[in-house]
Amino acid sequence: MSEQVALRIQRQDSATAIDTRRFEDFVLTVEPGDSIATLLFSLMQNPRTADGRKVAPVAFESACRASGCGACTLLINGHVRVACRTSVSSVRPKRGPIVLAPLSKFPLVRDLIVDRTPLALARRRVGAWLDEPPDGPHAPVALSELDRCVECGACFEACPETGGSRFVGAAALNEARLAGAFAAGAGRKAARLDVLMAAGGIAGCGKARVCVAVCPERMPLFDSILELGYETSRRWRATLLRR
Amino acid sequence: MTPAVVVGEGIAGQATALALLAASVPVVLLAREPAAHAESTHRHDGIDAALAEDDSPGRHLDDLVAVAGEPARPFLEPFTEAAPALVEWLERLDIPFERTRRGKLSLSKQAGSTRARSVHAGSATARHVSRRLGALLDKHEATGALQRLSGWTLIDLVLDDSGVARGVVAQCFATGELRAIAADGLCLATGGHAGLFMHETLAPASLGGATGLALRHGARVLDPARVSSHPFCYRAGGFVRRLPRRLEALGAQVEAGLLDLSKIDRAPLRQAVGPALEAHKQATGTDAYSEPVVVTALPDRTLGGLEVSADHATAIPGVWAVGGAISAYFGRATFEGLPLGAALHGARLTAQAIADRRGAPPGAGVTPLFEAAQKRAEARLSEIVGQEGDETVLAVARDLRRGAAKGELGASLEELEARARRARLGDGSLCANAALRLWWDLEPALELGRLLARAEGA
Ligand code: SF4
Repeated sequence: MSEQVALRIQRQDSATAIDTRRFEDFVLTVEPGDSIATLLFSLMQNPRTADGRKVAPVAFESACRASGCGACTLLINGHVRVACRTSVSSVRPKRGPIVLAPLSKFPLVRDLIVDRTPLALARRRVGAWLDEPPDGPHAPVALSELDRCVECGACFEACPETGGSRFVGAAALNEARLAGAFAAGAGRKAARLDVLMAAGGIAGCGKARVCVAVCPERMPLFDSILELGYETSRRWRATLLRR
Repeated sequence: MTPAVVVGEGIAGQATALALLAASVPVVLLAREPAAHAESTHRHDGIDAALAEDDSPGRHLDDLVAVAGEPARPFLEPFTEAAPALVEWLERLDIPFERTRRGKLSLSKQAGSTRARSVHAGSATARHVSRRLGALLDKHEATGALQRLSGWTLIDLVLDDSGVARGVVAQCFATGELRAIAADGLCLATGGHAGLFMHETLAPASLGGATGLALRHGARVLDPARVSSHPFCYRAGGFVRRLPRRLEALGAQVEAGLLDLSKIDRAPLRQAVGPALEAHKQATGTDAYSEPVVVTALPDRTLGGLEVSADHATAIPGVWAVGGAISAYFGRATFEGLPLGAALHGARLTAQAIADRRGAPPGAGVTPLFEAAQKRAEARLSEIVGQEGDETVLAVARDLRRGAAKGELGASLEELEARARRARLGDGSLCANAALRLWWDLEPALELGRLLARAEGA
């Protein structure tokens, strides 16, 4: 049975047009099983506010539409969620509209779209890239449950410590940990640990573990942070002894 | 040194860029979506290779040719020979392939195969491969040899007077900036045009704009209407989703539109397709482990596409193509485990060919060429922004899809073209304008539509 649902969406016309920031209200028809992404797509067909004004279509990002990527991640009632993995019924408040806003720790592009470059920069900061792997077979690495990041940005958004030049965030640390475990990245493991011991690295984690709670891929990200904690302290002791 | 330009950051584009960089060619990787959000990245399929002791590349080739048809043989033969080494490279990259208790790769046998030869990393093989290629590319980005232009839409190819491709014109989605980019070697890794045939859904797949652009500039397209369908699609919240095709190899069958997995052992099922079944449950509320679930076969992948030579060159000098955009490896039909491997293999051939044949003379007149192309694009853009018809670009795209899917474009194409010329964008802003991005895909896709309309008559 279809029903009406109220949506309040934060809007802004472009990165620089700060004076255009506003909330607009919409009323949409939902079918059982509809997700927040479904609502955004139906809004695209006919962008009209609750009081009947025709407005510019709400810009939002979406790629696979099927829980396969993290492109449509945004803030729903203030919580970071992936729009196509979130059913309307699960976030509908008892009173008032469902509120949608863009991720707040990334540069805004327009309306609900943000620029996720900070994630890539954080990965680069910790040197999480790989080199061509060495020849010959090696023992398989059993970390596939941590090897699934879809670059949605949820962990970076929700963490109380990330942002700007501060803590690099769980996703980047996790990639650094994986890089150290893979044959293609093991060669630079020590150098990577040195970077992680500097400001913004492993010590930046406040152990709030919000990353684990929000990751749509349900990755045990804190395992990687703990592991890096051991590895960095071992490396630190080793450097002390060498002095 | 003028870079090579690779368009598309799906697995084919990533792998081509990587192979070019390994050959010391600087690369601009231009893509509408970043790799993590590309279509090929979230497909479930595995990779086939003759790895079993009772298997051989020759046998693999026979199986493939029996399904694809003879014309694909010249492409499939080198592929089947290269496939085992390709998988071995992926193993060294620590792709978490499923393994037997003794630590060997688990091989599964698909319908139509005479041997077990599919390797999988759960239902996320492609994502693992893409993530690894991405991390390898990150290194080159850090050194400056690679420039990623993520969130850029290809809007035209730039050809010189003798018909050689010298670059592209692209638009930044976020800012609307238009830019002409010089290319010494251009590779289209832009995927298939399956979006044209998915009319009932808000389809993620592309309408084939890049293929249409190549067609306009002299490339040839083979069997544009040839599409393979996916047996395990389901609808949820207005979108079509897929369950992994490897369910077939696990013994799953569809009866009267229902897929019943309740008789298959849970443990192997969970290992093979667990996340996909969880996503299904989240979206539909039905638990596929224990209850039969509704599935339907829907178009999924185009088998036709750009025609290329053995080294992946298109008919346009200076333009190569790889991955889902080309038809070479697929022929009449294809196996689940072919496209991903063929993309990785094709990427190496393409990169090799580009590296060998680069070195187009700088040539006088190239700068004015780009200036002219940029001016043309700007003029075109202001025309589009000025279009003020009653309907939106979305409506025209929807009807193009409907016509293509039903094989009824012949009757409506001219009208669609006229409608596209009037259709308005949602608003006139150049910042993150989804309708504008769709328009850049739609307009050249009509070119493909013309080809489809002609094929309907035949
Ligand atoms: S680690 Fe999880 S939450 Fe963080 S970006 Fe990756 S998928 Fe998103």
